Amino acid sequence: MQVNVKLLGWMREFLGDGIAHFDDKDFELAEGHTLGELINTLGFRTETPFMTMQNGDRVVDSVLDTTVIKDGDKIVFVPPLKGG
Amino acid sequence: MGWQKKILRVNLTAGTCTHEPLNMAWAQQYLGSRGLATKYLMEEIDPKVDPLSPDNKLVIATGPLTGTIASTGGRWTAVTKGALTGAIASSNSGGQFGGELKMAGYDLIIFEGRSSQPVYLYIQDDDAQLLSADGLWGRSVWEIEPAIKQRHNDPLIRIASIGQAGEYGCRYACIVNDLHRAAGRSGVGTVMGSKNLKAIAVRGTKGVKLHDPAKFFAAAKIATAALASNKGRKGMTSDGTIAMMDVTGAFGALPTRNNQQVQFEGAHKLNAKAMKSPNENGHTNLIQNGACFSCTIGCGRISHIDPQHFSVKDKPQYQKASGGLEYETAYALGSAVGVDDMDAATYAGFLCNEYGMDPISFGGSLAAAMELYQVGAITKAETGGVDLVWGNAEALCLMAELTGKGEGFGRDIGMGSKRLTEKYGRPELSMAVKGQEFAAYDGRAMQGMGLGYATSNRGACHLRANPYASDFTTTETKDKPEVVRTTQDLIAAIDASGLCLFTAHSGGTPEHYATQLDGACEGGWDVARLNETGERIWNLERQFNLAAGLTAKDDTLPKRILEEPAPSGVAKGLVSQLKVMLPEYYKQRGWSEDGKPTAATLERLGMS
Repeated sequence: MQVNVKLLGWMREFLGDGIAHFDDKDFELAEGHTLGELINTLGFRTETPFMTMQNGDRVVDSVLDTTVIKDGDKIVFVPPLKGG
Repeated sequence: MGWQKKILRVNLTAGTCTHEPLNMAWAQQYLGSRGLATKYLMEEIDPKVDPLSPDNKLVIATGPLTGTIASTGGRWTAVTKGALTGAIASSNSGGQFGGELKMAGYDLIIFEGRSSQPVYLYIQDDDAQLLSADGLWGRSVWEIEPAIKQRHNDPLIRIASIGQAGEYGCRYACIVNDLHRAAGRSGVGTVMGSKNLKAIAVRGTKGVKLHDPAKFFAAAKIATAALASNKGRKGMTSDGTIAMMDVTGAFGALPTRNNQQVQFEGAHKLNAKAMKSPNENGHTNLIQNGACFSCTIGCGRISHIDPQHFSVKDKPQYQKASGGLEYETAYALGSAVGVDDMDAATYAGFLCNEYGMDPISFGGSLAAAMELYQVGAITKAETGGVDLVWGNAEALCLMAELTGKGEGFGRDIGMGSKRLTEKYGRPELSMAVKGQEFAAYDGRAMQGMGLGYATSNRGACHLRANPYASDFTTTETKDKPEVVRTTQDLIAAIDASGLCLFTAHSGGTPEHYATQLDGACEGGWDVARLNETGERIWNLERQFNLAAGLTAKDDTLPKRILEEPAPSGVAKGLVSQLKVMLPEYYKQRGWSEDGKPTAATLERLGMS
């Protein structure tokens, strides 16, 4: 299945070693993939707090590992941005 | 030390400049800058005074870390009774001016009275004199800065001045320094203009003495290193504050068309990526980032407008690099008025700097005017024939010019949204608190920010509390009063120190502030004392407002935020829960149910 992943603000700074920087990218994922697994793949699991949005809805950290991604989902990661 | 222990008192009525020793007991209680200036103002004026009368005073203040090598140690503050709000006005700015003023040997300048003729203050270290502003009055900030430097044959003079907006009485005129930094909010420039004071020009060569230099330099090295490695700091450097546009846009906290919406379909044309990307002509808006005195963050944006853009194509004087869009200006000159044209918003921002007016309040007031036009409360008969529809970029640019100069309908917009909407019979369309327009966050999606707006002593402001992490995590209100209260106190202390509060967004910690202060200043400074000092400053500002006649009824939000559910985003269907949060906030502050500091609170803070 294909999902779209967007990194807002300077979330790209949080990507793990070896992950090429991107702002907006489509990913091919296996059925049943969870948000937690996607975050592990991207390498910023420990960079808390950041916010996760799935199709415009906020997903709280406590359910990331049990929230299954569906085909066509739009996933957005938001860094702990302040001020402005 | 850290403090220069010297005040310059300028009596504009008598035309005199005199030196006084700094009240060091007050400095130990209120630290400096925002805090110490408010103490002097509170002691020297009747808070009920008309802000534009000669009896109001204007205090220009540095903090003990201003002018040092502490990262971001270049901040200064203008404190007065606000022309826009009638409340305490406390506007902070960066650039180079603050460091220069401190180097000249002053903690504060207190302006009192009113000059019979336009003047400017010229300072060379100990020598301070009022000089005629003939040839300067009536001209813009951008015109007079080079003129003053040429007049004194000194390119290193640093200047803070007002433009035409401050001269004619635009209620949200600001004091602009170094061409595009500003003490922007609440009408501090309007007060300066009412005193016939055009500019402060300063050259300082004295340096800043420190209490324990070795301790200070060690602390400053640690604090600066923390900023250097912080990912938030790296983002601020590369993208600036405008990175927030994507976040609030996705979240549903981006005020759009006078808060009628909370997401803007044109946000992607006003974000950090758009700023760095070539347009259809191959022109890129962003030239480089910029930093203030002693700053190692560099969040400022330096921009250049496409010479083929309608706003500047016949105006070569604007085809140069200057201060570009930040998040707040991208909101106020963009989503707030439905404009998605980055160069038009940049041009309007240039004009705000040139004429000396707060772009947030200008954009908020123009947005109110556009909604008045939308509902038919005003027509082209009032606007001078201008079609004030949402998204009209030409109207944005024209109104920025007219408001800056005080011409045509711009004079009405220059009153601020509160007075403007009252004049046309629709006061509920002013998105303001205590008469000051909202910043770039909606108080429904960001419940903590809504509480922060309502309780901000200077009116709606995003720089008085730091509820971002909480607000981007939850709209539950339980923890908001504590988050808002504690961060209000910390920010007050940061402002008073002479550092930039953006350090708190970039890896700075209370320990960093306290250890640097402890090295610079005598008296023993730790985190507990820092927080207590911030709380004391907050309560002093509150006391000023209460004495000025404000009450708990002023700690509120517009009807739209309290009663109209957010139309989209993560808070879709929610209104502000201010009525739930406010009593708990008062209780935690040690205030009575009607929002007054209790005797016990004042005694605990040493203010009784």
